[in-house]
Amino acid sequence: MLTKVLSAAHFGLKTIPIEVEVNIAKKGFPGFSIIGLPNKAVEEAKERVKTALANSGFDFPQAKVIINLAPADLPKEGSCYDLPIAVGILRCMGEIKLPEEKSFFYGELSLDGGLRHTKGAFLLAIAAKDEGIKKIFIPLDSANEAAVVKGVSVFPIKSLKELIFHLNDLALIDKLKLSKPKIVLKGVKAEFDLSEIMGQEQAKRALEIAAAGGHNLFLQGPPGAGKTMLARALPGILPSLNEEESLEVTKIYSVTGNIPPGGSLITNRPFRTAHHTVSRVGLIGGGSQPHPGEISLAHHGVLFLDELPEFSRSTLEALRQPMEDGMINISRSAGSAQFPSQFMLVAAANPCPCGFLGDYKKVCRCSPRQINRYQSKLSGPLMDRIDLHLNVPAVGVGKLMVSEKKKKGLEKSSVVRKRVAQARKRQNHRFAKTKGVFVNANMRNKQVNKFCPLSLMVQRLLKSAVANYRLSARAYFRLIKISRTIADLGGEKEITEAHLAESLQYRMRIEE
Amino acid sequence: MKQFNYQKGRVGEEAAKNYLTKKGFKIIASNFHTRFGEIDLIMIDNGVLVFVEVKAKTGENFGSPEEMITSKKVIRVKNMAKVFIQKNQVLARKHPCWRLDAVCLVLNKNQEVERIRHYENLV
Repeated sequence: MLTKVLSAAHFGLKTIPIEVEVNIAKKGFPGFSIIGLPNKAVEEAKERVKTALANSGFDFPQAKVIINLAPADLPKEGSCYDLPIAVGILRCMGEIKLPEEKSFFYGELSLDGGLRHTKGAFLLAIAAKDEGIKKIFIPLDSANEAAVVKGVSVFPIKSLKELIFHLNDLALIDKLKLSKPKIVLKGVKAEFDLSEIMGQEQAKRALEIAAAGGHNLFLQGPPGAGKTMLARALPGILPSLNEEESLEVTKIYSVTGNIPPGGSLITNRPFRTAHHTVSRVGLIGGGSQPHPGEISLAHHGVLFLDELPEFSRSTLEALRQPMEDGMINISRSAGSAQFPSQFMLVAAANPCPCGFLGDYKKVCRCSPRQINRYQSKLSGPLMDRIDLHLNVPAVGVGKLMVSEKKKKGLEKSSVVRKRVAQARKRQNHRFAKTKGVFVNANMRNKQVNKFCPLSLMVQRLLKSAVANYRLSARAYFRLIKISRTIADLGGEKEITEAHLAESLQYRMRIEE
Repeated sequence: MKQFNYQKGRVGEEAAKNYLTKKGFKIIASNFHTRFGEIDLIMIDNGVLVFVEVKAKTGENFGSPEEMITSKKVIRVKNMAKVFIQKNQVLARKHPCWRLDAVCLVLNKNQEVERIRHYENLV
């Protein structure tokens, strides 16, 4: 007897419906085979399904069982086919009846017949909506994710037995209603509060500008000055994701299995750090079946690269194109996939191998050649894409040993966060009708011309700055974007000379 | 224990032989073995040379005999069949077609056959 059960496969962020065809033949030598380009995880579904059925009180049929995952030419991976295979076999055995409407079955089986959290549930629900499929049966732990999508009935399943009772109308499972549409995920929390950081007022200001406009930031300074501390304080001043951003980020986190069991929407802004030994595929994404890398996991959030010159050259250069485009196209023989990558790059580095070049206390003991070699690890094109360049000097002991009263006077992250949120709100308002643009840093040149008109005085200052510092065309547009953010932080409509002047000081360092 | 398994195998092979003979198969050889493996029964069915793998189990509590015939086992029998054909070329020329069959038996505690099933043409 032949049964067809619907499930889905993910390729990149695309979801393709998969028909799981189950045939139990009366003739032929008993066996169990899965065809349709399964990978190892799908192949192993055999043992899981067999045992789960046995532990749910069913004998596995002594017959030739063939599972075909159609379309057959698309490689299948993951453990999500356990449930549709089990359901198909039970239907063939005549133990259950299938729902009349088209429904998705999706999930990994545990040996005891229970269902486990399976990645990609959110994308499945979106696909169901697009394909006009009304019902999805999904593990309880993954159901919250799927229930975010409106217009699809999500049935959370604890065990195979429960599902069998439901399908036979013996004990119905209630479809999931998400009482709170959003569940804030734990995870990214700032390690440091801005008020814990002594001194570094200029750096704190630059951090605030970067957070407000989503600008890339480069911190340079001697060891121990607080570069890493500053970067790690950043999550504390970033506002949470808005609805549209949240959906995009949740998609990526769902397909990579980064949403914990029971979680639904991601509302915290991602903060990803990558060690300098990260591979190019790990950072950019890739693999024979394209998987998102760190830059996509940092979408709408922060990617922090500490010790930037230690990263391999090819890894850093690979960042150039996705930084500019806000998305990455990964093409492999299996097909090509697109992942969004509108991240904010925060990088930290020492100025030279010993770290004390330009320090006022210690003497640098590097030779000019060493310094040259160290600094040439960071290519011009990459540095040109970074909007805010910042020197983080060592903090004097006078600033470290301050009275408790003065310490209390330091601005808390939560206060800064409010200002940043205000500035982001203004930007959201401005870009409400512009698709794909959320913050000033995302603006294309066309939008810069449209949204950032410059007064004559500002134009004159800009002209002389470009001429004096020989700024590139890209730097020209980036300058205007930073000025726009500074104006947004100040709550002003027009960009003034003061805004431009402030943005220029973050640019000057590399143009010397 | 070994002795017991051997006896069980003999009982199974005997039962399989009788079962197939009743079906009209003609016996050529039994327990053909070299140092690479063994073929339990070699028979002729309608002019086709049939190599039979017999699998007997006492009770089905630890899995069915069908499960014990893995793809590895099938490959081994297939290789042995080729060896047999090499060695008996006269016979092989007379019967150019050949196939692999399996007979699966479940025995009860008294070594009596509880069920017997014949599967034609393993692939």
